[in-house]
Amino acid sequence: MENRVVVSGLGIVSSLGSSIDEFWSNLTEGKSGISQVSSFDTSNLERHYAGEVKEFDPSKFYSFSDMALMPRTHQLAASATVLAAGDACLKDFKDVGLALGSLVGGLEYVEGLTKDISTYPVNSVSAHVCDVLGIESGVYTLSCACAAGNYAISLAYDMIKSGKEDIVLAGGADYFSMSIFLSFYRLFSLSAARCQPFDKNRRGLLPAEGAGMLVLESLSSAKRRGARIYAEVLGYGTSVDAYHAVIPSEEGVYSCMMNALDYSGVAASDIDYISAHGTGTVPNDYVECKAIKKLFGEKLLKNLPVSSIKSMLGHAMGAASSIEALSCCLAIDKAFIPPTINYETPDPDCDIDCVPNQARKKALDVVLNNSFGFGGMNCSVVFSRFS
Amino acid sequence: MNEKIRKEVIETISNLTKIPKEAIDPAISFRDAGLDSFALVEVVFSLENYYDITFPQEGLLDIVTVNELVDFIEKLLAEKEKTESDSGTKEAKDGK
Repeated sequence: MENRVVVSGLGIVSSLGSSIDEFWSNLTEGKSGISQVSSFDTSNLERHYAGEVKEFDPSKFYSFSDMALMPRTHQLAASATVLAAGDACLKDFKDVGLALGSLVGGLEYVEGLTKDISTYPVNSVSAHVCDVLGIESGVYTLSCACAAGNYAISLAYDMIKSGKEDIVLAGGADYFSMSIFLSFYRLFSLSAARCQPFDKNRRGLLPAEGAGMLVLESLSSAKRRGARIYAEVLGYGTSVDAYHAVIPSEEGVYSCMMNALDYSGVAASDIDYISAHGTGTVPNDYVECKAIKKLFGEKLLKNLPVSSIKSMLGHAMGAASSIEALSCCLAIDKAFIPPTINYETPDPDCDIDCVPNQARKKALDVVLNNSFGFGGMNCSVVFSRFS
Repeated sequence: MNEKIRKEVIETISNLTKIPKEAIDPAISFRDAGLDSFALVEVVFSLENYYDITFPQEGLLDIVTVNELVDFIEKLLAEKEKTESDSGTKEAKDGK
C-alpha cells in the first residue's frame, strides 16, 4: 500500500531569518533580505547587492569539532537540518533518510576560501549533515541546478510513498558564491539593487544564500509520534526540456506543471496559489507566465495568485525551491500568501495576479511550487492542506 | 552611423549564429531576427574582445536592434578613445 506523505518539520537559515517565526513574519510583512555584498569586494564591479545571511554562526545551531574547516554550504545545510529535526521533535536519526539538493556545494575550495579538498564534491554537503546528525539510512545528493531543492523533496516523497523510508529530511542549501555572482554578472542578468519579478522594468535576479529543510514523513509515522503536520505532499512533476543552456522553454515549464498536477491527482482548478520560480529576469518571468496562462487559462487565472518570494530573498540557487516549498507549507498552515515586493509597473507579458507588495489572507487547500533550473531541469511540487 | 562598425557587428552575429549576413536586417529586433538574450550576450562577448571594450551592466537590456547596438558601441569606443587620450596627455605632462 502506498503511504501518504506529510510535512512534519521545517528548518530555515536565510537572509530573512533563521527561525520559522522570524522568517514568516518578515516574509508576510514584505521585508527585503537584500543588502550590500559583504563577503567579497565588489568595488570594481557595477553590481553590489545580494541576499547574504548576515552574522551566520553555525555553532548557534550545532556543535562540530572541525567547524572552521567546513564550507559555508555545509554549515547552512546542517544548521537548517538540525532546526527542521528539532521542529519535528526527532531524536534518533539512524533510520532517517536524507535528500539534499545543492548547486554550488563546496565551491569555496576552488575559490580558495577553504583548504580541505574533501569538502569540494557536492555530496560532501550531505556527508557533513549525516556526520552531524548520525544519519545512516538512505542518503542522496541532488545537483539539479536551481530546482535542486524541489527535486530533493520529490525524491523524498517517492522514498516514503513506496515504503522505503518512514522519515526523510529533504531540502537544499547553497552559500553565496563569488563564482555564481560573477557568472550572472557576465550574463548581464544581475539587477542593480532590487529584484522585481513580473514588473515591466525588471532587470534581473539577485543571488542569495541559505538553506531550507523539510521533514517529510509517512502519515502513519507522524500519527504514531503525534507530530504536528504543516501540510501534505500530494506529488510532483518534472520535465527536462534541454531547450537551452539558460533560458526556460514554455513547453518544458508547461509540461512540468502538468505532470505535477497529473501525478498529484489534482485538476488545474484545484490550485489555490502558485509559488513562482519568478527570478526577476526578463526571459524567466515571461516564459513562466506564458506557460501558466496556457495551463490555467484566463478564467482560472482571474482567481489564482502567483507570487515570487525571490523578490524578498533573492535567488538562493539550489536552496531556493526548498525555501519556497517551506514558504508554501507555511502559507497553507497560516492561510496567508506572501507577496511579490518591488512591483511597480505592470507588464502585459506577465499579466498575472502576482500578489503585489502586500501579503494576502486566503485559505489555501492546494498549492503548486515551481522551480526551473539551467539546462531545462524543471520540477514542480504540489502541497495541500492536511485533512 | 558608423558603416564599418555596422558591417563588423553583422559579421560577428552571422559568424556566431550562422544566420547569413544578407538576412540580418539591422533595423529589426534581435528577437524577430531569431536571437535570444543569451545569443546576444555571446555576440557582446565577441565584440568586447574585438574592440577591446567592456559593455557596462546598464543599457544592454534596452538595446533591441543591430542599429542600436552599433550606436552603443560607437559611444563606448568614443569613451575609450577619450580615456586613452586623457591618460596620454597626463603621461606626457608627467614626463613619462
